[in-house]
Amino acid sequence: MAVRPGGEYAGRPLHVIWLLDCSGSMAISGKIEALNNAIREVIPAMRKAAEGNPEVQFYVRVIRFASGASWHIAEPTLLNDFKWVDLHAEGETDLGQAFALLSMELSNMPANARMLPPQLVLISDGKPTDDWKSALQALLDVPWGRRAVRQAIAIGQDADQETLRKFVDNPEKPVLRVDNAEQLVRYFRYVSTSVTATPPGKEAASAPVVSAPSTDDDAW
Amino acid sequence: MSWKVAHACIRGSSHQRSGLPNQDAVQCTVTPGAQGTVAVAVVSDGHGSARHFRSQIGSSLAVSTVAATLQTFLRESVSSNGQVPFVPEQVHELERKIVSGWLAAVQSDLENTPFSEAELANVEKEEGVEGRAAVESSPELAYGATLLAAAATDKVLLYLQLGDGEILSVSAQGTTTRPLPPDDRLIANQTTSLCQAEAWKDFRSSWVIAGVTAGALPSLVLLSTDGYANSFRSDDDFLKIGQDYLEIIREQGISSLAEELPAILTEATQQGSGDDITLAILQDDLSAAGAAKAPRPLIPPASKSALIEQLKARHSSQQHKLHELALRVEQTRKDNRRLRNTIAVLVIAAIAIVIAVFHNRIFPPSAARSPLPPTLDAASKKPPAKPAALTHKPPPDEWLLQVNDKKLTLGQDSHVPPILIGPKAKPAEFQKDYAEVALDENKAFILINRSTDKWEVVGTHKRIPPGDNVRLGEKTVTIIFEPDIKGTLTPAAEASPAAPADQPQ
Repeated sequence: MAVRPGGEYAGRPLHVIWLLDCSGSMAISGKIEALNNAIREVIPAMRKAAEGNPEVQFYVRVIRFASGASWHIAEPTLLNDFKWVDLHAEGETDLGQAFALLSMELSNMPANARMLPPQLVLISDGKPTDDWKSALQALLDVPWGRRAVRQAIAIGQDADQETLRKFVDNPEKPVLRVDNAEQLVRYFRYVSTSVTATPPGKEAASAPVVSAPSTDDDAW
Repeated sequence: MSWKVAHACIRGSSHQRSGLPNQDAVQCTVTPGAQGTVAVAVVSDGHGSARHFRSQIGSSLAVSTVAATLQTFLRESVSSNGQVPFVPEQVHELERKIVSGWLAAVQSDLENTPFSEAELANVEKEEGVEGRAAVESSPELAYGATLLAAAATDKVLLYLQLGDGEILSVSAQGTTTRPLPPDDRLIANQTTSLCQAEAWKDFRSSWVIAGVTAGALPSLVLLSTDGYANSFRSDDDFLKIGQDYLEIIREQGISSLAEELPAILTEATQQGSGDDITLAILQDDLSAAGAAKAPRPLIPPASKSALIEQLKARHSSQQHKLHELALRVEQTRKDNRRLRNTIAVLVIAAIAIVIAVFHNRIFPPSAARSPLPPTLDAASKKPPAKPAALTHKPPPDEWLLQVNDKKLTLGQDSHVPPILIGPKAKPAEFQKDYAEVALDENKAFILINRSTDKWEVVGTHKRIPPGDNVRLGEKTVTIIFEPDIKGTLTPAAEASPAAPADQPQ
């Protein structure tokens, strides 16, 4: 007799959220086209890597920021259902607004143990034009924001690596700088498949004193 | 009344694929004695991330040491006390004893098998030098594991938990509840653990005394590692196991269920979390067998100690919040101090600038360097002034780039626009400049090729492909940027042989 105590089984969710720079400068030198093409190559690679982890449900969402920030893909979308709609570049670099939008979303996520830490990937080619510092602090104060796996890719020489580094806030994860379309595909694929291939393992919580956010002395 | 036990511990489906061992462990014992049967169930989950590389040993040390400690504790307290077998202080003491017992077992394992370089190198590879340093300074981290335990006599049931996982109690009616308060530190793949400093402070505990704090002891107690609860779609889907296991045991008996448990849990890990799963079941034999005769809960005559415990739990959670608030206040203070320092620096800088400006007016500069960013010098513009009388010649930090009749002064982070080289010059992808001056890792100045051209250095015939760079020093360097376009880079000091006429000497 097949007994099955309890209700329905389900894999654990892992949310991947991309924050993509769509400011005017991304329209120069074919950067936005390179990003659109990179995403088309990254998704199949993520699917393939995720096959090794059938128990994890990977959901992808996308925030675009330019003059203001908005959801480009608002619905958490399973990798197999993911379809890419091209981004267009125009406007400022309101990264702070993107952080604010993200904080709001993460603070609404249930604080349960089922969910694996989300992965946040920030890709930018410029300097933020709005107040990003307080928005970033607010993001890092949200439990899921703090515990997320945060990574960043800098496109070209004008990207503000210092800002990206503060977002990542982890000396073990350097900001990756790319200088051409081929590098962008390579690094973006590396970052994205690293989490679908090996979701983070359990660890002993750091004591509250240790996890106090932002202890770097050069802020401001 | 007598207790029966059943348990299973299976390796997670994701652990099988990745080659990780089963890091869970379980031990259940039922021992009859003069004062009645003592049943103990202990479950432990070794953490999965790289720094906890001996966690499967840590979890098995936890279950073996704790099972023995609990047996002794329960037997001694039942025989030495009256109606109230133990007071909170004794339980806190027990928690300390559990942690120190586990640490001693870990210490002796370490003495028998010290860390190998391969083990430490792997931590460094996965978690960086900080991870390795953490394990080297606190070796018990490698053994990190959680702890869930229930210990029962016919009158008393004690629950203990450190870290994640679930303890459920199921009444004779099938009502399933959590006997311990939730711990909000247990999110996002983090858990409290035996391997942390002062681990005993993170224990959650409670107890039930039949006829005192409750009418009857529960019919079933279920202890499981988090791999089980995480396999269900929702919390309600998980809690349903309480009623379901009670029914299965009533229908077919606990020993028959015990045989099926591995298959049940294997299906759960495959269709659910992928993690190792352990389940231990304590069954009150009489009440589970006869649901109809189950006594209705009495109003407890003396639930004072339970009330005191509740108040204490509330008090400790308030204290925890206070502690968090204090940390935030401290952080804000730090931020304020930092802001104050920044303002002070800015004010000093502003004063310095004013002084510098006035200084220039009063004492015209004799050794001035252009503080301005590089400008496209028209041929008529004045080159920077030469240092007047310096005994030590500092290494150059500015160069004059001359391409045909066009000149540009370059310093750190200067960019060379394509137009300076010629109409055909093209920056590489994602670049808007043709070349860039930067400091390399040895703090030496270099000119980076940001173009699609392959440069050649005159004299050495060295090729500089896109992305590569030329070292800038005291010697003049001539570079062929394009087949018919040559540029010379001369240290700025040498490039201006004569001081401008309007500078007083």
